Amino acid sequence: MESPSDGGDDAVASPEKVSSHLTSLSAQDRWRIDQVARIRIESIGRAAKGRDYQDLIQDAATLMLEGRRKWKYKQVSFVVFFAGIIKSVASHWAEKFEPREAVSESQLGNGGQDVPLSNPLGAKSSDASDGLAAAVSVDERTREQLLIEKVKSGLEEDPIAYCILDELQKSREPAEIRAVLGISGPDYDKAMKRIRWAARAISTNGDQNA
Amino acid sequence: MPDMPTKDDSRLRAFYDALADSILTASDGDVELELRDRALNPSDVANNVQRILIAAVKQFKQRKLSASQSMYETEVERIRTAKYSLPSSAEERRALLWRVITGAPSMSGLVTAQHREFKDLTDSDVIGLLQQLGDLGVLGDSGEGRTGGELQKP
Repeated sequence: MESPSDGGDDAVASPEKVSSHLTSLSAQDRWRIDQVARIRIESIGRAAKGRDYQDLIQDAATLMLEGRRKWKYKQVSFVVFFAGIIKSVASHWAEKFEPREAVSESQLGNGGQDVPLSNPLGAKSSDASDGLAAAVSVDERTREQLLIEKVKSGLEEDPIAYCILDELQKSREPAEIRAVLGISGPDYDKAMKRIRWAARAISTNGDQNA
Repeated sequence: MPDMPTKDDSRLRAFYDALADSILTASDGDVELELRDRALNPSDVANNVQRILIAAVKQFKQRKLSASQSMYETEVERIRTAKYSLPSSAEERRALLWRVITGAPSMSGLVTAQHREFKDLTDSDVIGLLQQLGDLGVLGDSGEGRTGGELQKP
């Protein structure tokens, strides 16, 4: 049920409408949400702090149901909106992540004891721990860059996909890439699918559904 | 403090955004083909996501229900334990009720709903009505009774 003021393009879906859409997504849309969440969790690496793609889906759904993210249903499809929230939740986790948290747990050897997340090393963090934190952060980026390089090397026989990846590394938008490479939308989409497959094959360790 | 975004971050973002976009723009037919090509069971993937979504909806509804239940119980407890000091004489109580009803005409329904004329109300009716009005917060809002004979919590 929408509020009486809902007439224009800014109409916001009620929690009931959101709930109904959440539980009646088509199988294809559920797969899309699954894949988008896996990509986003992969993209934030250790900042996920043990949370997985399912937690991401659950958090995004909760934000919508609680009305903390409002779906303007006349402006955007539900799946695209949902995917946007998944991205935003992942970004939020990444922003909140302190690399030294990972350091404290994995590299300072605290024996698996619980540490406060807000300030795992206490107020007086040493230069050494800051250095380690920075190293972890750089390490994360290196890992991600390595993934892209690996995907590229696996696509050397696929010039279109290879060139698209090259352009993505220059932070270009899809429309720009199509224009620069002179390829059609369908050709771009097909190449992206091959890139996706290659990326998944490299970044997952035999997870059949990934 | 979290790191500032760097050029590397923006490159990575473009990469992951492109991957996610390609999934969202794929047609249903392409999705089905992809699932088949990857030898994935579409219902396994779909059921898993459905399970997460249903759990999220259920949890949300339970939280709402639990919040409503808690509010209801608090309110019932407030009404149950509320005790008022009514004016000591029947005339004062009747006068207080009259002032409230004439000050807030919508409250006169409380009397007529019980098929009574004001003059026919017994003192017991008056006490009951004043207590109901107190529970409804009407007296506090109207400021009625400040000049005397207010329903007061002890």
